[in-house]
Amino acid sequence: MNNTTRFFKLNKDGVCNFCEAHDSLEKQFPISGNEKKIAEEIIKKGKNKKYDCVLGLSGGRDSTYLVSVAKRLGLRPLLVHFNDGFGNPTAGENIKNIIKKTNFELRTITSDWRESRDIKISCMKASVPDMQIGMDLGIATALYSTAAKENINYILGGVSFRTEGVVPLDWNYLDGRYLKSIMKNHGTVRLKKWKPYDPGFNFDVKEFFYYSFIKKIKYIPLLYHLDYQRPKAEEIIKEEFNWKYPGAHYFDDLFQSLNFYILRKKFKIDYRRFNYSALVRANQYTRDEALKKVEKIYEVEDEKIIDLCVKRLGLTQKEINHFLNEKPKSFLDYDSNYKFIKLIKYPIKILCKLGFLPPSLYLKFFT
Amino acid sequence: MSKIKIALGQLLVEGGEPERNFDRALKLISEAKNNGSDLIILPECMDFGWTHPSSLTEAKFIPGEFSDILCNEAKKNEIFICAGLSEKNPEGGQNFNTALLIDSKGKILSKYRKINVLKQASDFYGIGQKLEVVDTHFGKIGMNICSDNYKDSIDIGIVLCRMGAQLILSPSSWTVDHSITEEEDPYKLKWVNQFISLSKIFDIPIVSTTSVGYIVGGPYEGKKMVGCSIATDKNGLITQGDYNEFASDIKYINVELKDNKLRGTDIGPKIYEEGFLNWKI
Repeated sequence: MNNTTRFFKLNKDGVCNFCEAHDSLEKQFPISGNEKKIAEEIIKKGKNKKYDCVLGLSGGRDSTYLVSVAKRLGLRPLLVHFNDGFGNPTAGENIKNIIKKTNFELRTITSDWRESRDIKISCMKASVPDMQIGMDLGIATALYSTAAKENINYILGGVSFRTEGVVPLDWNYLDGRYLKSIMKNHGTVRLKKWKPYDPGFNFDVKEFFYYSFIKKIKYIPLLYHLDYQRPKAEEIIKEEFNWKYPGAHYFDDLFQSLNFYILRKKFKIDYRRFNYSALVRANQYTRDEALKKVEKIYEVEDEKIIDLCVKRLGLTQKEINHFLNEKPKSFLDYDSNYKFIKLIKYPIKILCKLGFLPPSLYLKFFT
Repeated sequence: MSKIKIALGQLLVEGGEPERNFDRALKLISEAKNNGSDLIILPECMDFGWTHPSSLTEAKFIPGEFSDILCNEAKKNEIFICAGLSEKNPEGGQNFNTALLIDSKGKILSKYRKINVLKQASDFYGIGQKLEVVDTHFGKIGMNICSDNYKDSIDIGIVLCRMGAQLILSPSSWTVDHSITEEEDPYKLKWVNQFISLSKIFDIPIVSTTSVGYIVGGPYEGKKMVGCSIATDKNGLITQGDYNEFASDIKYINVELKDNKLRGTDIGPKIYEEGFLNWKI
């Protein structure tokens, strides 16, 4: 990863910051059965409520497995799905099957296509790699606003640092102020204003404080506490929910085809590098295996689906080629909360420890 | 009186993706056949999606490439198919929003072009000039499409019944705002009122299958289709499709097609009785 991110560092012992982050998370989240204790706390706090937690569901492997875990632990989640117009129908079928098998309730939060399309195109015009910022912020606002509306205090996240790793900041930077800056410079649609229960794509410091401290919502990365191994998880969810593989990791979202294509061609970014690095660190892959895999173009870059994405956005291949030829930029070229976040290192650390922010966030910014 | 098993194929329609939409439709047709259905009804404009801009230039003639696919599937599966397609106008004018009824031998029995076209869709579709009912071994079947069933166009359904329809099939693409969620009843009484009224007066089943999906182009951007297809008879709602915006679904009903005893001038007083003519828009 060293030649693909400016946020790569080696310490005096020759250990890189991503390995340090992984080791730190391993210490903080050992595999020790702690998930049962967490579930007890969630159940206790949600005793007289209809639901005791919100669980983000895409229909992909990780979030589907999280549903299985939540069920096993006796939780009563309200499942929340965010739809931005690029859902993979296979993932949709999975969601349908999960609902039928669990009887858990689902809330689908749908973006306004005029906004979500404009965000994606604006990011391309801005020449930044963060073309999924709309999707990521949309998921965050869908989860938090639903939890706030239903008076739920916990959000369960289906990410595992053992399989996913920590994404370099300049590969994926998530910040509401940054999105506003991109839209101000390149957008053609004015994004709707924030409302607590209808937040649209607004998730900045103010909104975060509202959900975290007024509505007292915490984020729990439940899979961090488990020995999460994808092949085993897949067996379980196939058996339990008749789950079907959408074709690649991240491919619960069809836009990833175009995203991966542009990231590779223009930014020399390949998400598998930090994914597979994590799997190597977690002894789930060998380094040789991982290196061999990344030699080939990732199957998510399906030509037909790339065409579908281009067409769906109302673009042409010529316009995509134009974006590809523009000089690459990053979040550092736009207004964002980056400098502010760098100033509040210790409050961020505490917020991560207290569960108000994802634990990897501190490590992403400060290791 | 004859009995018929109908499958409501609530199809996921991706705007501008006919190949993908047909792939899914064929699976539903085969599933319907495997479940013993005599007929499957698929949504309005199931090829490109309703009002998707690509249909303006890519719509096919009927008979033509897309209707042939459905005819072949009907024959292969020995099942009647009712489905909505975007129809290229053979005269060279505006396309039509068309519904087809295909018999189990693969023959197109009826082709209906939508009459009550929405104002916002008027750049996409011309106005149909014909209503008909056709004889099948189940009985007389009539078709209309989606907003033909609006309160203020209930006369379209009434005319089908006056023509002796014993079953009305209505491929649809009901849209709601993107902000609607599973918490809400997406249509309230928007559709079901008219369906039940017609079903009661004429003692006929009315079956409408809508699409599901996220609208990604055209004048209805910002809206979506969430299913909840309906079938009614004189006793009210028979079935309702699932609420869903991301996956196809199928529901089955068994209905009886009865001889329509109301004819000609007997019908007028019944219509007054139901109060159709006093309906406020």
